[in-house]
Parts: sequence; C-alpha cells; structure tokens
Amino acid sequence: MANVVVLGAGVAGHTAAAFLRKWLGREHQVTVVSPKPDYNWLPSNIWVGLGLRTPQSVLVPLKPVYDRVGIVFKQARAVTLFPEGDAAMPSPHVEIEYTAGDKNQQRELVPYDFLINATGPKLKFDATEGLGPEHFTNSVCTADHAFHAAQAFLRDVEAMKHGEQRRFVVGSGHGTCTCQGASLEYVVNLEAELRRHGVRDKAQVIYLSNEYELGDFGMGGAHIRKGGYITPTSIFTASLFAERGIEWILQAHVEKIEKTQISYITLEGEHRTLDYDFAMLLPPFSGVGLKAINASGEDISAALFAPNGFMRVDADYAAKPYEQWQAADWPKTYQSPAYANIFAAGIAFAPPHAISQPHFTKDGLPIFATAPRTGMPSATIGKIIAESIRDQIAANGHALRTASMAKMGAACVASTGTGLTMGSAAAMTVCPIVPDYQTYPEYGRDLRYTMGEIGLAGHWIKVMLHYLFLYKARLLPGWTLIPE
Amino acid sequence: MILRDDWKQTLPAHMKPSSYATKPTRFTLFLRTFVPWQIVRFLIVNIKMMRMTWLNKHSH
Repeated sequence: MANVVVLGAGVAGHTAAAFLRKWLGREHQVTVVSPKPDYNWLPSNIWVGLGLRTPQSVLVPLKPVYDRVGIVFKQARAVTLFPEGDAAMPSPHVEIEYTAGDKNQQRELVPYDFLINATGPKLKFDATEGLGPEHFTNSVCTADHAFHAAQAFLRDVEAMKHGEQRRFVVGSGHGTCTCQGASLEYVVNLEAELRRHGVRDKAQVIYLSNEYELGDFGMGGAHIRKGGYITPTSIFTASLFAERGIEWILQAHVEKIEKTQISYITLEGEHRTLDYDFAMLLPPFSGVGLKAINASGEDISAALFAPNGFMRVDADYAAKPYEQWQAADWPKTYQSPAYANIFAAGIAFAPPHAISQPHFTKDGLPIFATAPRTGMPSATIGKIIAESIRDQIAANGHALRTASMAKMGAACVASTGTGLTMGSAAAMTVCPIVPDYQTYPEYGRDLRYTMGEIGLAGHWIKVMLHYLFLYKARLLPGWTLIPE
Repeated sequence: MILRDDWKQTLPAHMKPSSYATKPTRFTLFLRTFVPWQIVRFLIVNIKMMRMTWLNKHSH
C-alpha cells in the first residue's frame, strides 16, 4: 500500500488527486490537505467581483466530492516537511495544522510515500503598504475577496447613478506581480458593467501595470496572425483598451496605497501619485512558507525551496542573463532534485526565471511581470505528476512523464463583457507558453497554434468552460473526458 | 508611452496614447456580435483549442 499526499486543492492539486484516485487501486491511499473547504474555479472570480455571479457559484465543497470518490480530505495547512522522517515518525511525513472543525489549530503528522506540493501562492498583500482587502484596495484572488470587491463596485455604481464621478484603477499592486491577464479581464469587464449600468460617462477607468508593454501578461507578450498581419499582443490589447476608452499606465511599481491615493515609481525612477475611488490591484505571489527538516533536525528549507518560497524542481536555476535564457531551463518532470518522492505542481514550483525580459530602475528596483502559471498548464502538470507516481507505484519501469511549459500551449479566454447575445471575450492560445527561440527563431512560438480574437463566441466558450470545469471539479460521471 | 496623469486630463483625445492604437471598424464590431458568424467562430476557436490540448498530450 502507498500513501500519496497532495498539499493543496487548486487546479493542479485537485487534478492530481482525482487522477491518482482513479488510477490507483483501493489498497492505496490518496490524501488531500487543503486549508480551504472548497475548490475555487478562479477564472470566474472576475464575474463574482462585479456582482455578476455569487461566490457559491464558483466554489465546489471538497469533502462531499472526496468522500464519494474515496479521497481522504484534511482541511488543514501544511507546516513542515520531514522528508527523511524524524524521531517522532521515522518515515517521510508532513506536519499539518487543521484550519477548521473539531481539530481546529491542532497539529498532526501525516506520513507519505509520495508527496505533491500544490499549495499555490501566498498572496503577499503585505509587500505594498496599504494593499489588499484588509486595507484600501480590492482583490479577486479568492471568491470572498471578489464578493467584497463587487460590493464596493456596486456602491460606486449607485453613487454615479446619483451624479457623482468615480475613478477606477485596476492592475498590479507591486512591481513583481504576475496574473496580468486577470487584471485585464477585470478592467474590461468593469468597463462593460459601467456601460450596462448607464454610468460610463461618469467614470475614468485606468489600467495600472508593472508590464513593460501592454499584452505582456508575464510571458513576454505573443504574436498572433490576424487580418493579414502578424500582430503583437501589445497592439491587440491597446486596441481593446482604446475601443473601450480605458487609459493605461505601464512600467509602474506601486509603493504605497492610502485611502484615496496610490503612490508608484516608474521604470525611469520618477515618483508619481494617482488619486482613485475604487482600486482592484493584485498582489505579488510567493510560496506559502513551508519549511523542511532533515533526519538530523537541520533546517533544509533552502535545499528544497527557492528564496521566493516556491519549490525547486528539475529546472536549471543557474543565474544567467536574459540573453542566455532558453527553453531547456524549464522543468519537465517537476520532481524535487533533493527527494525523488516529492513533486511540485502549478504555482508551487519555482520557475527558473521570469519569461518576460527583466527591467530595473537605475536603483535596481525590479519592475516587470513575473512568470504566470495558469490553469491549463497547472492541470496538465498535475496530471503528468499523477501519471509518474502511478508508474512508480506500479513499478512498471516507465520513465517520469514530462510536460514542459516550453513545449505545452495554453488557452486563455478573457471575458470582456457578459450577455448571451451581446457579451464578448478575447479567446487566445499561445504555444509554447515559454518562448522557444531555438525552435521558433523569429517569434519564439508556433504561430499555427497561437491565435487571438474578440467576439461573442469567446463569451460562449467562457461560459461553457465555467460549467464544464465545475462539472469536472465535482468528479461527476465522464469527468475524464473533459480535457485539462 | 507613459504620460503624466495630470497631462492626461488636459490632453486632447488625439494626443492620448490610445490615439496611437488600432481600433475596430463598425463592420468588425458588427461581426463580433453577429450570431451566425459567431457560431462559425465558436466552432473554429473550439477546434483550435482542442488542437492545443491534443498537442499538450502528445508533444512530450
């Protein structure tokens, strides 16, 4: 019998656990440890954040699903890894702390034969003074954050209906943020909602970002074949913003947020301020702060984790200049180089470096988008790790499965307005996610698989994906037919 | 292009950064919500995305 423990129940962790349960015999145990009781279909948080959906509509309670399929669920957060065991338990184990129920705040040692770290990001609101729902800005990182963002947004809409004017600022709350796609989706939807409420003329909408150019998205932008041209996403995005009357400020590191004012520094080193009434600014991410202790009781966290807290895997972490970055730097198997029975999936693995070209102020302050790890690659990585563990448990001699972000593509459907006949979304695919300039010297990507277009069809796809992936998350009959 | 925020308030529309961006024509905007055309696009985009997922499964 093998014990497989999955830390985290986001896209990567939930996918890995579900496939392991499907593939492994009942003599093997699959355990999921997650501090939250629900699976959150994050792409639809954008709609929750504008009052278009309820938080419940984007959440799937995990316990009933896991009880039904035979996965052990512990609502707890992982605290410390003991990959070699210790005096208390000689076999590899992880110390967890319950976050709810009768055992709330109690600690427990959970043994494992294989461990998947899919803990996702820590939302580092504390990186910028005044950032986050506990201070002055909104967020859509969780369904609860999004719900409160919607309440604030609708209050401003009501004020505008009574003749007041408002300035909305959406984007990055720090110079090293990622997930600019989510900010873009939110700002364009917000603008569409202002029009739907009949108050667009009373609002100024500004996109504030750490990106070097519009459409960078933390992946160095992309090129798409459209209308007889090969067009960079900077033009694609600028066109969308210009059409919607959304202004933009780029290359900005937000330093401080007060009740009505955002202070930021530009790449040129100029300090500026921006007054605002409503702000939705995403935080930078880091690892969740797991520690690791070896059999001698020594802290080996630095061997397992990068300085940003994400787990080291089979990537090339050697520091090198941007000009020397290559596709081969990116991990393939997501296996820890320190312990062969530990893997990291989704946001939890440490990228070897950014994808976008780094930029710094003359004082060395980084202002550029860091690498995104969106749902599609996260789910694919979760699945191939599950396959690798299945193979190892079966001892079938199969090599570890691979899925490099420098080989796989990603599809992104960014809602730009809702409505069955008047909605729209930007549907984009890029392949590979990490540009490979050795294979594709001119653009770094295969233009046969890289596309983007805006229209009602994209909105239908976005709605379809919402229901399909929530169905899949519930592990209902036929869920494996829905691709990652 | 980055402009000071207070400049933005006073700049005429043709001098704002957005004036340098491409904008869709009325015909493009019409096609974006023209249901028969969008049904065709729905099928095409889905096929492209399925090609992508197939590629992800078979490229490693």
